Amino acid sequence: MIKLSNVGKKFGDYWAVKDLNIEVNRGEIFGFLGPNGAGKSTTIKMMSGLLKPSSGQILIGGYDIVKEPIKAKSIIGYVPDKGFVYEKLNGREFLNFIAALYKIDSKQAERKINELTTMFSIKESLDELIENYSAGMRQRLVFTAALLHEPEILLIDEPIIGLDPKGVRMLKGFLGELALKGAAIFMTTHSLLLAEELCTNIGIINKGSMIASGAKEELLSHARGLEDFFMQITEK
Amino acid sequence: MRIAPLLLTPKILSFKNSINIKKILNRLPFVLLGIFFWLFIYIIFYKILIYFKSIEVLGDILAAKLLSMIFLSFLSLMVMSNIITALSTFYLSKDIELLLTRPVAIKNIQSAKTVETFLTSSWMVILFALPVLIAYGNVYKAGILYYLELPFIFIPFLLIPAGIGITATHIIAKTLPAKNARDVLMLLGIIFFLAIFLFFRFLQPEKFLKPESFPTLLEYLVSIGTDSVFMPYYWITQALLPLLTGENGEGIFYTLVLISNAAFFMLIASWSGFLFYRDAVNKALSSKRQAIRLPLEKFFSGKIPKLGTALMIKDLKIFLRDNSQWPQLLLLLALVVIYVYNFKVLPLDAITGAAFIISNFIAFLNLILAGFVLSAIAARFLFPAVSLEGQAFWVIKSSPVSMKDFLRSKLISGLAPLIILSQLLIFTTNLILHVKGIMLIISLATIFLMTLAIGGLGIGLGAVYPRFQYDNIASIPMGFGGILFMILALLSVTLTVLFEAWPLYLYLNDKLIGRALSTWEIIQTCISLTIVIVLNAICFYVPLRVGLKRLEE
Repeated sequence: MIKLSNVGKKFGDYWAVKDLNIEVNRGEIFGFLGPNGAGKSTTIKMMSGLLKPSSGQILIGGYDIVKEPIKAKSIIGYVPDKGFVYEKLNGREFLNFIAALYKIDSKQAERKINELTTMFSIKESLDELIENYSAGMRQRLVFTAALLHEPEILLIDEPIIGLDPKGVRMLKGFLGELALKGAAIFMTTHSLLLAEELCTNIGIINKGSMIASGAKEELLSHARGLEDFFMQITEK
Repeated sequence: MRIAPLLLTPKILSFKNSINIKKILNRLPFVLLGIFFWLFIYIIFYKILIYFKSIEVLGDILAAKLLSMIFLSFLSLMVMSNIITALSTFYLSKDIELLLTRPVAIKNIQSAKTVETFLTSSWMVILFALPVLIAYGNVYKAGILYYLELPFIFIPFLLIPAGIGITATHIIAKTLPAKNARDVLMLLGIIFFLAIFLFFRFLQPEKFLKPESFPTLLEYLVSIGTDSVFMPYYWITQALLPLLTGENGEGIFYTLVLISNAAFFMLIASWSGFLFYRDAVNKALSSKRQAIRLPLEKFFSGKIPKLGTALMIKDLKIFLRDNSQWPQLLLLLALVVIYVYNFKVLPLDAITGAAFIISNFIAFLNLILAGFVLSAIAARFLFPAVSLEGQAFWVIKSSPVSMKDFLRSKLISGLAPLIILSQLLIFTTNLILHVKGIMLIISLATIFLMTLAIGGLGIGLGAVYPRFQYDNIASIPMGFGGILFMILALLSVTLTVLFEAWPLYLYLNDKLIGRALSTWEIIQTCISLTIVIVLNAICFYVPLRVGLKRLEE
């Protein structure tokens, strides 16, 4: 579902990401880990179509994100790390706007908004202006927006920022279920605990290059846990 | 250090830290503009007062009336400005939560906020009243006493509206939730300010320069009744006049009236704060701003609109709910009214023989003026359209929406009101000028082309030079892209009019002396008009194309 071949991104003379090769199939949850400034957000931004890769190719559901961006984006659900949204819209207006961007018909949109906002516990606040939302509520709203069109691929940059323990628990269950239904999930995170618990595959990036990648069990077979493995490999 | 002055130190330090050579150099054009404006006010008032002085008997009365009217407008402005500022400083500023969670007595917070409110809302009036008061001092050759007493007269005058404004704010905040109160008050304040602005324009100040209109003007000034012995502007005028003219008057009495009233109103402000502040601030911190609904919203509710419509509805809602847009919108409305009014008061009846030529010529020059006005409007409303997506631009960028559709929606929502405005402006002014037939059609067609060009340049260059991170919307067109837009827009307007000048000359010649156009002249006309069309088409298309490419990258 997701295939990155020799992907690189150059800012001026500096390669933020270089020669990245990643593959995420249906039903897999890929945890993309790395220290601050390693290139995680740059990678996910290239996958979502926000940034154009300087080299290589990104295929999303078989569509090249650069050559066929509309087709690729229509099957992606993207959750950024800083979920800035339109402060002057209320939650419902924002979700209706997202539904229009994805050309979802009114009935289906209403059904999905009801279903997702109930699940993310923001239904009661839907008619309030977003500027009044707390950080956690914004994050829940951004998740709702990302899932509205039932994406086959979910790209999440730091999924649990702003979420309370109840929210984190609910999200973990939900992502697991989504993967079981056949979605491909790619997420960056600093929470090694979350990655260890949730991910089927792990990739570790440092200074723009992938330093370890593979199935979780395989990678951790010689380590005492993900934290131990992460420290060993990033301090090399 | 005492607590209340201590609470002001963050503001003082922030101000001190914001003053550095680099920032001053960055803002040099604005500083110079301010200095020029200051000098401009001084010169204008100096000239007017010298002129008044030269008129026997009436001159001094007119100068006194003018002074009284200036203070009347200051007083009205200051009451409104103090209410709006006090709402921000007392209830909505970011440091309120910080201060309320520290072991600081409410009365100290109140004292610090009172000083902050007074300084924030009064500094500009003080700054721009100075050239007027200095002009009065110089023209009347006032002694040193005038300048020495000025602070003791002017500051108590400013403290009165501050006291009234702060008291009103506490009462309003106690009754209305502060977050919406600011919107309502801001709107009222702007309308009030514009009403004063329009009022002064409708007074036709140009009549001051016509001596033959003085008897009626004096009657007029008396009829608008600026002299009420119970009002602070009367007190301050009466306190200053004896110092200016050197005549014996009740200057000291009125100075004392001002000082005692200032003390009284500040006391009332403090007392109302003591009564209401704690409860009202609690209410302000727990209230949530309500969304303003659009009149047509019910037609869309429950339905997911088509992509283009959805983008435009979203933009419209965000635009109307952002109160920083309101002053600009209302100011625009006032400018349009004044624009049309200026044509209404043109002395066209005085020109009998050449009325046709003059009105057609003015209608033609009007195209440049309207083009410049439209460019300024586009700089403020169309150029920032893409940047307004702000840090939420990822929503559009990561959605299956082509940048072409996105830019198209920005273009339509920006261009449609601009076209309506420009057509109305030209049609109305031509109607006033009695310009009909072919000249009216050419004017309307030209302004239509100009608007398209300005719209394309605005949206296009706004996409080439977007600023997604901004503190203030008004700062978006201040960068390189904005300046480039203004230069190109003004250039395209000027060139359009220049290329139409020759065909217009031929047309007027034909109408005036009845000489038919030669074949060569017809060819020249066609070439000129083709150049106009091509020029505006390029201005419309090229920036949009480059902007689209930039967004796609």
